Amino acid sequence: MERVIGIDLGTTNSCVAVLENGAPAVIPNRGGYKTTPSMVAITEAGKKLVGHIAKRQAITNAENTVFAAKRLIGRKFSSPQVKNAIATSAYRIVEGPHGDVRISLRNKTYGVAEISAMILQEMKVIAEDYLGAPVSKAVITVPAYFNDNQRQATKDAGAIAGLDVIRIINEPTAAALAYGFGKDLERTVAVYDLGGGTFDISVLEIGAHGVFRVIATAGDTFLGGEDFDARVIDWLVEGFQQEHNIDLRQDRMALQRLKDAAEKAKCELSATRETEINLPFIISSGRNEALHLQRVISREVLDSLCSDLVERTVDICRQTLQDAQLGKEEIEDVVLVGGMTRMPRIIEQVAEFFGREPCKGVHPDEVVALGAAIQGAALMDQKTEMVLLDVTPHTLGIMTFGSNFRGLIPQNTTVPTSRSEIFTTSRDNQTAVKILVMQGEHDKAEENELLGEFVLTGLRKAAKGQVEIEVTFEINADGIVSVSAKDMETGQKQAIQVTASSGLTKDELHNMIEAAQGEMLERRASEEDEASKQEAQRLIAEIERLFPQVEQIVASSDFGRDATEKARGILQRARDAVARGDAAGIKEHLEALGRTARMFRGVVQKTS
Amino acid sequence: MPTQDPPPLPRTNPALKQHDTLDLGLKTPRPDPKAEKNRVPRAPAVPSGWEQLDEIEAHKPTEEMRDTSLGLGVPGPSFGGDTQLDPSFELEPEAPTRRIEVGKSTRDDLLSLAGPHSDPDSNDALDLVSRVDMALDPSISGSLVPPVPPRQRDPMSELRERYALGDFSGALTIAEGMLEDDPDNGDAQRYAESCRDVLRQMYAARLGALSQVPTVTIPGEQLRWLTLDHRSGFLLSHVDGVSTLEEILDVSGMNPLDAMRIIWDLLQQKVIALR
Ligand SMILES: Nc1ncnc2c1ncn2[C@@H]1O[C@H](COP(=O)(O)OP(=O)(O)OP(=O)(O)O)[C@@H](O)[C@H]1O
Ligand SMILES: [Mg+2]
Repeated sequence: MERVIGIDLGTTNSCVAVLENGAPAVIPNRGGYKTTPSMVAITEAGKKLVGHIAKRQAITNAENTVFAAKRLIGRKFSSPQVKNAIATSAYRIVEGPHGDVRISLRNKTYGVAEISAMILQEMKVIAEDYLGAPVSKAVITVPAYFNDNQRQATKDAGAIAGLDVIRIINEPTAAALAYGFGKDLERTVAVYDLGGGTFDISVLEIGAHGVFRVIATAGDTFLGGEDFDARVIDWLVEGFQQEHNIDLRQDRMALQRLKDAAEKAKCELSATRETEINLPFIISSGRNEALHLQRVISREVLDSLCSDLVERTVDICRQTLQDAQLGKEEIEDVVLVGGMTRMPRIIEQVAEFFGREPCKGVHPDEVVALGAAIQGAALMDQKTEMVLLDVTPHTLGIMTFGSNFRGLIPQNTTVPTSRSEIFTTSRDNQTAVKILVMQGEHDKAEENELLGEFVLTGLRKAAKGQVEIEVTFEINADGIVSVSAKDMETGQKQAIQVTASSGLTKDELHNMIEAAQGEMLERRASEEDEASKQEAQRLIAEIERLFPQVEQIVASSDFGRDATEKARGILQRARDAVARGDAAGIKEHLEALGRTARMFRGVVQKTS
Repeated sequence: MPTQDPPPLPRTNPALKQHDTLDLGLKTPRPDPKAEKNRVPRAPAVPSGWEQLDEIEAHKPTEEMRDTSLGLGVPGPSFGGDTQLDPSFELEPEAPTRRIEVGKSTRDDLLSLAGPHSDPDSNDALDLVSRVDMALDPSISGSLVPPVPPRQRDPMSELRERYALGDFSGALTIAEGMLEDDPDNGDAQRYAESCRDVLRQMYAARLGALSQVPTVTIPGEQLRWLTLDHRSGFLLSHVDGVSTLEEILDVSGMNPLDAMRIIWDLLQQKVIALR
């Protein structure tokens, strides 16, 4: 059976998991890390970097390093979140041809989905390397609040990365699944997720037959571990300023090291009460002289530096429960998600707020990927009962008189579904109505997202409220929304199909898929070439090492001299091929090198 | 400024011609050319075709070779021991003259190869190496190389001269100085570019395969007592025993020549080692 991977495509880190022998397991990357930074960079030499290596140069090459692309995916350029991202990002965010968002790196412009695809592709490669087989199917998680466009854009990113995204599921749902809530009946669970860049709180109602309803979700897309790191950096910079009267922020290399060290110290303080930050030669104080930064930070200091940040998350929890008219006592379990929830102070505050100890036992930065892998395997296996039903992430409706929003299909409705409602004209002698199809939870229409619009004309002239129009929303199993409006009197009808759009046209998407495929082939080929080159170099070195001995041994026989002559020729040709970087040539000579090395080894062994 | 000839493009790769001479000043006894010649035959005949062995090719150093750092010697027991012969001595007809030229050349010239520190009087990082090396090798001493003569001549002719002598770092420093005053100086630009090219190749050849992984050889607390600048400190902070040279160059965000030069310097100072 084909394996499906589960991918947690995070704002700051991504994680990939697969079901192995019935249990979900996270797949480590080549560096042995279980999460990979969701960062992409292009170096000065035009090389693409993804993951840890991109993160390590994120400050020194800030203009060409994309982080938190997830905040931009599937959004309109004009949206407030994008404005906010532009203000806080060093890389260039530009408007795309369809009012969408693009990112400009070293004179090339990329779609956001294309950037996310690079991360997904990396996760795919991590899985393929581990499984030793190609992977084509994936379940990808998204925040519960993602709208259709954001979900579609995430799917597009998967397609560009060469993945068939068989399902998009909500992150809190995945986390709950990983905690084994899929089997339980009727339970209300709060999922507190504090990651690197975003905070989310969701309340899920887990029902029979794997129905997970998100009853409430809220958060802050600009609150996360990075803010904690920034506090530590501030503390270090201020201390250094006081001691040496030098502002470390002026130097990017210093700042990069501070950032890395601050995050490391923060993580260490989750396990120890005190840790040392040691950055020798942080900044030059004169010719060939540099100052060192060395400071001890305690857990208490970290807690006090960040207390307001933790407080903010608790406030959001409080507000969310209030909005959903839920009492704390109705929450039967609390699940912690996100690397930041390893911080003892956070665990304490969450426990205090909800009045219960949160669930422990699964790594908080891995649970989402684990849940996605569980869901992926369940979808492939017809026998399993647990099937998550797709629900609508947001309320769908239309704009009515006075810029009000009237919802027809409520949030979390299981699809497929269909609802109708009768509306009337709002002006006398009105002959046409404009239907604005929207998505969102606000009563004010302008706060919601416009998905599409159309006009129904030819209405009978009459006093307002006289003409009746039936509006029908229909969502099919593939999540495609159709909206129609019918003049009840004449039967005249107008309809549109609302397809979620990632902001990319079919052609653009197609080209991106092809380009990424080409790049992947190249990458695999060059990895193969590198392996042959290393093998050739190893053999060359071995033959060279044995050569003098072999030569001495066989010098007396004509045959031996012939053989060493031949070996010399092989060696020379192979070396030339290596020097030229001629991949095909190297492969051609590998066999002969192997033979020569075996022969040399044999000769030396026999005579020693 | 009168326009003069553009930089002569090196016929053969000057980086390779320079290996013997420039390195000898730092790493091994600077040999008397004659003595050197005399010693060559003592080495077993090098099979023809082996001399170019290392060229630019990324040569994985074998255990015995590691000490030579350059990966230049012909590997094998025949060249083991303390004598590090460069095969090109025998084969490169220009070598003797070159040696003499460099023998006369400045300390700057030699030091510049080891890294960015080139002040002969400062108690700089090179002393850390030289003390060790001096213990092993009496011929290395501060007095071996005369100090840089104060620069008072026309920079362009000095630039040319340095370039002709193969002192590409010296030439680059002068060219960069000239470009600071006059960024549009085409000659200086061309010289600078050519120097950078050559130096890049030179350092690339010395460092060997970029897939090698550097490790820090000095315990953390002792590191602080070295004399390094913040750029070296920055690169050093990326040496984690896992990242390859190539990755470190990529993440450094520095100009590759500068980064390679600093890494070479750290290697020379035995602050890091390659594996
Ligand atoms: N042991 C630890 N102690 C404290 N914080 C940690 C620890 N381990 C990781 N973190 C922090 O967790 C954050 C990353 O969390 P995670 O990998 O869950 O992010 P993410 O899911 O990509 O983010 P987001 O939820 O914003 O999409 C980083 O800020 C990291 O420093
Ligand atoms: Mg997350």
